[in-house]
Amino acid sequence: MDDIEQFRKTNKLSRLVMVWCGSTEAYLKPEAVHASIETFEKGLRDNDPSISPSMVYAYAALCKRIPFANGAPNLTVDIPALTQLAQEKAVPICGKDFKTGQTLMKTIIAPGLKSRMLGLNGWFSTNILGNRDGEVLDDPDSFKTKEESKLSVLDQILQPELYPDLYKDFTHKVRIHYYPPRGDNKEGWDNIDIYGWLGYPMQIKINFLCRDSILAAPIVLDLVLFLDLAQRCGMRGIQEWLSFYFKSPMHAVGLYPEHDLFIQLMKLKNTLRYLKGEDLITHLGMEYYD
Amino acid sequence: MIQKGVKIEAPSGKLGVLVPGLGAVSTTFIAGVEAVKKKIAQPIGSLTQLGTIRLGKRTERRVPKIHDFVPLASLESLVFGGWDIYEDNCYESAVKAGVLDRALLEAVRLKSKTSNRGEPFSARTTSKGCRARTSSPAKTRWNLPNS
Repeated sequence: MDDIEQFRKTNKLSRLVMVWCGSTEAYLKPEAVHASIETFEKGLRDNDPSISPSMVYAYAALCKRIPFANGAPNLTVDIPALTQLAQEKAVPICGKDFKTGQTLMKTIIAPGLKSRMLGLNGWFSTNILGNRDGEVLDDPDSFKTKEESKLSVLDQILQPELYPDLYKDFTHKVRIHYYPPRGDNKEGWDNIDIYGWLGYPMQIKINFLCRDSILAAPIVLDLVLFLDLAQRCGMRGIQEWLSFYFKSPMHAVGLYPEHDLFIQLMKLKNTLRYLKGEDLITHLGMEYYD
Repeated sequence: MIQKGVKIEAPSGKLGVLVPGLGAVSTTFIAGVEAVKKKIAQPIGSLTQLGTIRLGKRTERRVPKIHDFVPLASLESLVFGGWDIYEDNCYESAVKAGVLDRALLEAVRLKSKTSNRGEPFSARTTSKGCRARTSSPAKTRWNLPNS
């Protein structure tokens, strides 16, 4: 916190934002220590191993009323203790895990398949990646954190409980391999087994040669600017309208996350319209034909 | 819930951007913002810089840029700071990450050095907190944010 204060003073800053761009941490489940501000602060004092470094940063940020975004799949602020703290201190927060690369493609393609009522038998995704992210993900504990983040996306978009004929029991596999020669240039292969009219099978293959940091950098910029805007508007707690940028969007208790990229974009823009007192856009458009 | 058409405080002064983790993503972000400010590259992929927003009916043809519609902080007002468990400075870390060309990184570094705003890559603080993961100077997690 002294570091932050010194940074603020030295550079004569009027406001601050923090965006976690660090590594994926070992897998953690929400536990009692994460359940309330009191238990969390006690955990800090007792050096509880369930409090990860990113949680410590987030806690420091929130105490200083600095908006916080989580670019990794770590739990970090997605625990009751810190969402409560964000509410109490009136600080906007969002997360988790920047939506880049393969998951970005998934959330572009899956809504399209579903909107045309095409079925899915399976989606196999594999990646090679040579940067520090890839190296860290070679560790099974860290990969488990990432895997959860990546796996939940399709289920939430395709809603198998509503469309059992199309999406019940599809196979979804995700693999990440650390392969140093590629550096930051990730390569992803997706094989998508779909079926159409009368159950006839078809296949889609995607070979995405993407640059992870080139896709992530503009997300960091947008989050910095939008979180700062949110704070100046007096918004506090989870900023679901920023789901657009995340693989595992944070959301209120009792809600399911919205993963569909196009719904996320509409939500983001409607939030901006609302903040500025403009009419929300429903795309009804009947009035043009009277 | 926030009111519709809420009063929005103006983005006056400088906005500090803290990035724990000075790896490929954050250095590409920081060097990229500097390059855009120097007008030697475009902020492709950024909704706040390139995106538009339709307002009202389609017949009204009101489609401003997002950054002209809502009062966002300007790129010029951003000041960067970060921490990492590695000792490299931001420039060294960007070189090591190998995402951006050396030529672009040099251009950003040189131009920044001659500007009055100071060297962006030195706008870096170090943290006892993050280093504690390797060298543990703090007794407990409580000492980290409160050190």
